[in-house]
Amino acid sequence: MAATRRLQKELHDLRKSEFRFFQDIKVDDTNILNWQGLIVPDRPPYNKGAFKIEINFPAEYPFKPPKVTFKTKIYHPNIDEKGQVCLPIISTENWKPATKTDQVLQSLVALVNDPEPEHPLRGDLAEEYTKDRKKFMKNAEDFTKKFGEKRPSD
Amino acid sequence: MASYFDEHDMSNGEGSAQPRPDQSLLLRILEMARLLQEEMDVEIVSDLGFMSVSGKAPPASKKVVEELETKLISPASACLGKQCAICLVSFVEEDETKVLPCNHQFHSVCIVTWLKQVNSCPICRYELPTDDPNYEEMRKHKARAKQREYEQETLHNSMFG
Repeated sequence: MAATRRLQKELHDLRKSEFRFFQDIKVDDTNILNWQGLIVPDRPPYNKGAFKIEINFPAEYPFKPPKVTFKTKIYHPNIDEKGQVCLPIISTENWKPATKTDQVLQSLVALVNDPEPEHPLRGDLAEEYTKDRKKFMKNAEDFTKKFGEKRPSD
Repeated sequence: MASYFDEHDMSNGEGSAQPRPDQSLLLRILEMARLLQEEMDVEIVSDLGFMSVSGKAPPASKKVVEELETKLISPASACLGKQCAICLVSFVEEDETKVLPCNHQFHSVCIVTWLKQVNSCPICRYELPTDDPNYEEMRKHKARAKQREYEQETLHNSMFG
């Protein structure tokens, strides 16, 4: 399967690169189409914790884009309560096979660090983010401390 | 003496909520104009609807894909260590590849699989023609709009630039 060979290569490169915002990569030996890992943001309010995510690659990868879901609850305008995130780089209309998983992860970390309230999945949080940044930062930090995973480097 | 309100065919206060006949006609015209505009907006949206429903561009034209030149990797180009951006495997001697008009090269199997799905280069999004008349029409329309914008700007700059 084309997907398997490419994913083995991407996984190898990603582990070797020691990408500091995505750690603890776990891949089931029997199913390389499912990856898990820890997003480790470096900017407040999310730098008080880490967030478990799951990447699901379709069997047709790289002809179809992967899907990313948050497994750890996060207080973020662009990530909903089910952990779904809207990432343009992996949307069906934008996807191109030359896009590699490390680029997808970089784009995801950038979105976590810098919310985009103009395209929210959670309107209530986007409104709070725009209208009362101080309150948003406090809520998000409390939420991160309460539900976030332990950061690997701490 | 007739009161001010009688003279002006109005009642005191209560009547102010009721629009006068000429006013209500005006309101009705405005309402119709608004509806008409809404309807036009809907039409424009539904014109582009086929794009947003399917979510992505159509496959490349079968004929165009068939006519892409096949290139075998020579020993000289194999040692450059370039890789196919789709499968991420380096090109080796005798690999069958195809080169798109944008000069990006892929394994034949890889690129043909992709072009059966979407009409653009996996690296730079250079668009190949499609067999979808609606999409081609929209593409022409977009090109024309761009041309018009360019012409308008040139004209504007020649007058005020």
